[in-house]
Amino acid sequence: MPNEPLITSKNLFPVVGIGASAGGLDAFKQFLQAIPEDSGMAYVLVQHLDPTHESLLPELLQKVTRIPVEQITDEVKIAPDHIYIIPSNKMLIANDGVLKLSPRTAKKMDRHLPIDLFFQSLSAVHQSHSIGVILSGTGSDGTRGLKAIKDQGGITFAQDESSAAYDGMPRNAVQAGVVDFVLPPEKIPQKLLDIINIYGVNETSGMVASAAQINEAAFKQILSVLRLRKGTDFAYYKQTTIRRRILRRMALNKSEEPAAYLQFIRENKQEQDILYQDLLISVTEFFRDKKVFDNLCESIIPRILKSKSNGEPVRVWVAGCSTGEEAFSIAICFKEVLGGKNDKVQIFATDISEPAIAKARIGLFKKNDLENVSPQRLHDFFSKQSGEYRVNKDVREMCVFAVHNFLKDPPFGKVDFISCRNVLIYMESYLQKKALTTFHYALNPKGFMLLGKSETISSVPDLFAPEAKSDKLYSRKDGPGKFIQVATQRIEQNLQGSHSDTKADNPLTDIQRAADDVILRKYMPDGVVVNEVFDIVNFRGKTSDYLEQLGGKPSHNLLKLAKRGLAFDLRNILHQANTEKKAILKESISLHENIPGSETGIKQRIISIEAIPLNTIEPHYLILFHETSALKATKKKDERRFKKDDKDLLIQNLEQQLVQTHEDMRAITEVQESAIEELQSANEELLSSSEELQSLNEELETSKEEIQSTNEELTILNQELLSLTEQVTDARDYAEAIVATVHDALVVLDRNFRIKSANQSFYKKFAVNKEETEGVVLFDLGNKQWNISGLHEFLHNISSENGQISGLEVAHNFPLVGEKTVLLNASRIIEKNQGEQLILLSISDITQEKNARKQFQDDQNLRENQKDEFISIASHEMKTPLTTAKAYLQMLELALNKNDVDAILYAKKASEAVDRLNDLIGELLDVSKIRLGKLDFKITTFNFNDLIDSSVENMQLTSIQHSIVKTGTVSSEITGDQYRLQQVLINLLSNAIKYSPGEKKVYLTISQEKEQIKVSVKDTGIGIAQKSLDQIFDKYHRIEEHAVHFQGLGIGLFISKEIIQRHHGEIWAESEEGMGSTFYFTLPLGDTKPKA
Amino acid sequence: MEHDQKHELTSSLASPFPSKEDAADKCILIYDDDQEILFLCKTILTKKKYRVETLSRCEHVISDIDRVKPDLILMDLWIPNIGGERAISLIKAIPALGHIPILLFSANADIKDICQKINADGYIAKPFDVLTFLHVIAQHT
Repeated sequence: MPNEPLITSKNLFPVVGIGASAGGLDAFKQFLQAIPEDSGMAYVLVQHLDPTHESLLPELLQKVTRIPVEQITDEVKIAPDHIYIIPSNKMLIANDGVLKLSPRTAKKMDRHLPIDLFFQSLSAVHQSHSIGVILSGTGSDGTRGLKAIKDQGGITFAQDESSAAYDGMPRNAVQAGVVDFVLPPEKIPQKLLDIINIYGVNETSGMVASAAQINEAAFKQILSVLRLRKGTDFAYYKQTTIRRRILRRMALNKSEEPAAYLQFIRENKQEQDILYQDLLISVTEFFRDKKVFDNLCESIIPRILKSKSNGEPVRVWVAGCSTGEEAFSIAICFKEVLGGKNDKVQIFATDISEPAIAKARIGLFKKNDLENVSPQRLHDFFSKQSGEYRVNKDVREMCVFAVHNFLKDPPFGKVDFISCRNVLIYMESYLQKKALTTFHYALNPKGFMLLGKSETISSVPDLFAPEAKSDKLYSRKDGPGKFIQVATQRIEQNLQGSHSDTKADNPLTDIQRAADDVILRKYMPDGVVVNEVFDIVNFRGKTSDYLEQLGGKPSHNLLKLAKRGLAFDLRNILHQANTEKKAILKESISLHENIPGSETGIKQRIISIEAIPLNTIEPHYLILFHETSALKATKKKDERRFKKDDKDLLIQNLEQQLVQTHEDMRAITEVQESAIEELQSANEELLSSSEELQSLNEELETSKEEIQSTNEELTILNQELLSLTEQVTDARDYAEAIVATVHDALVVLDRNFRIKSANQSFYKKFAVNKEETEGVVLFDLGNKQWNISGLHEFLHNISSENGQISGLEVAHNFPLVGEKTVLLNASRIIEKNQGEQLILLSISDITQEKNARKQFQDDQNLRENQKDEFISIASHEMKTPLTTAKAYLQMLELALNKNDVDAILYAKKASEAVDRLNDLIGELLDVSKIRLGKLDFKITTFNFNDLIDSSVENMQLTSIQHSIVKTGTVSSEITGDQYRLQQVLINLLSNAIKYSPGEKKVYLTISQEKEQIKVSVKDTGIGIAQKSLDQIFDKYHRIEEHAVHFQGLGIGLFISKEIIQRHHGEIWAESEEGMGSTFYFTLPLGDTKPKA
Repeated sequence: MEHDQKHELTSSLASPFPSKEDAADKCILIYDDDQEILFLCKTILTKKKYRVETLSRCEHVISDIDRVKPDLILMDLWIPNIGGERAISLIKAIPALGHIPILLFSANADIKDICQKINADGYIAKPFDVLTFLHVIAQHT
């Protein structure tokens, strides 16, 4: 940092400092892309750059914006609509509107914080024109800089966390509370422009602090948050009201301290909006103060219309129209007065509240909004629309609704009638004055203004005159009204001092003017300027000859200061001038003076005085004193003094009497004046009391509106509550209706099993009624028919269990209703309000269900048996023709000529088919038996080897192509069903043969392991897909892919599995597609007696 | 032609049992409700010179035996009017008839068990192999 102090820049455009570090490039790009070309601001980008590399930032950024991007060389003068970028390895400060570079500090004492450094210098130099923006980056650089900017009244931004690649820097700044706005980078420029446009470049954000009358900084801050968000400055609004509203929001948000609420509202944009709307109390109604509207219709509107003879439109401005009722009321009045005539009436209805304007535009009102609207008007100007009333289109079209702040935005012009009711009451007198001045400006010369009940024009008496005796109706006075353009104190000060400023600004260089001055000074009569109450506001020339300060309280009053003998005439001419509004001259006033050292001790002067009313807003008068002939008079007197005749004596006598009379009169006048003075002061007191009362009245009116709005809120809340209650009642009725209609009997018990309530179904089902049921212990109910032992336990358990027990089935002979089977479900209900523990017992009568189920089971069994029987009959019947077929085939084969090989083969094949058919029928029977669990086993102990051998032999007889290769033997005998086990072996062997067509061998391997026999049947055929392996033992499975080639029900394996499992063995298969399959089964050696 | 065939069949049927050439005088009584079966059996057995009597109802089994005086009885199980089991028990109840062998002749899958249960002398399961059929009959006559 340089040692010399920084020089404040006179630049009147905002300078935006933008700091970023890691992740800054993207943020910069987004930011720059959003800057319009003519933003009127200068932008300085400070980026943490690698000191050892040349920065490419300017080139990169120039690609995304059309605003010139410059790398800063030393001593760059900042110009608006330019972007400046820090070069690498430099520190940057701003001084006197110039950007200066300094080498990066090599010292280690300071951390490298270029953003802080630059922002601090920016804030010192550009003060309230400085704007700081912190974008993506790590660390905390920039926070102190933003604070400096904020301290100087500048505006600060930070990138929001969600859009920042690295949120360290923005978050740090936000947490430090130095950030006004948290936004994504692309939205910052627009916001900036909004703020700058609202306040103009002369605006300083320090204003709130200097003007607000709240002591607590927090209140100020809250208002400034709103000002920044909404552009409405509440500083000059009635602070009592504002504070009440803020406190109300605080209470609603449970914030105890304004500071806490400030914190809350800063981060919560929604709350900002709510508070803003809350501050804009919108209370209004149709035809508020009926008398006013009657008068409007009877006299004012006709007068306005009359003045518009040449077809000009009548322009009306409803300022602060809220939700539009006032505007519509006035529109209706115009419509009524106009009758059918088509004179054009434009009503501009404005309000600062957007939601209110939005509502007004729709023009939809509830029935109770329309209480003051006569039925006739309701019929003429409203139409019903879904239960509400909508203002008719022709009336709506007369009104133009707009969001507008008449304290800030340019007013409408050439308005014939302004209504601004109960708006001023929220404002301090300064704003009232400003508003009234604005209205004066807006009104046509013969325009009218309507104010609220408690509002007056007292702050600007010269602009408006009360219209007759009507309520708060004023007509515009011609006067030098000045429209105060911008709502800042600074502007007002300028206005007040404007007269003197112009003079001082121009140095006296003009010779002619200098001469004029000399002449003026030399020949100008002495005089004073007085105001309405004759206080001197300006002395001109030497007035000591005419005025003197007597003893007592110092006074500026001309009449008090006037020398003896002059006051009387002064008063006369001032009075005359006041009434006649023209200059009044009074000549030949003799003035006696005691002059020590002169001959007579008295000097008599003849002077004339002139009172000229000045053409100013407040009445002022210029009093000029003309010395006519002081010396001459003295001389004359001297001459006469020596003529001592009678006449002289008489004259002298008379003169003395005259002097005496003068003295007397003077004394009387003085008494009178003091009386007047007292009256005056009493009057002033009255006035001030009146003002106090006025402000109290306004305060009361405000409170009334607040209460009214609170009342409305309460009404709405109440309605909501009512509707909620209704919903609750509905829900209850609904639930009760369900309970009443539900088929199951429901009983609610208390902790002592006393019945609290029961539903209809319960009464009906168990033949009891409500009276004998409620309040009775369940076990005592209906001849103790519920005294069931299981039930006691069940209900006691409910307390210990997790409040839910279900499915206790109780078969009980109820003395009153007979044998029933019921299913009990119970759950514990805890009533939140009473904390009472209740038990809901639901009793389903499942007697019928139970019976039906039993019936069904019986039927099922019967059906199964019938089916079984059918299958065995069917198979039997099928076997009969099979028997004859087989025998005849065999006989045919035997009868054929041995040489007829083909015929013998055909007969053999037919025979085999018949055999297979027979096997299938057998399997079918087996499956049916397995399913019914009726597969019988004949258990014997036998030699397993023999079984194997006979099976192989059997198989070999029918399969000529394949030879069965048997290996291994078993020494032990086993116990089991020989026939069934053979069935398994044959099944496996025939499968192996069947699924290996073209192969020559299948392999049967037997081995004896520890406690079991293991048998494997292996073929080298087509194999089984892995996915099918698990399923091949399922019932009716057939290997899909082979379905075309190999027929069969595929139930053989299912039966085999059943047989092996019943022998406590296992059966499984291993296979690889195309390589063949191996089927295994094991049989335990010990007790292999099949399961039942 | 027909003669040749019959001869063929006879010779091929006869060949396993050369010692039973003189079976012609044996009488076999067959109970079955299926005419086709009866005809088939009669055909086969007649070729082997057995005298064959067939009946399709079994309620008069005792009088039938008295009339026919069979050397062997084949008894179907499901046969009107009283069923094979009942009929056999009627025969077994008369000691004088105890010497006549009775074979169960049925398609019932449990024929073996039933045979043991009712103490029949043997069984022929339908469908049967013709040679086995002749063999079993030869054994019991």
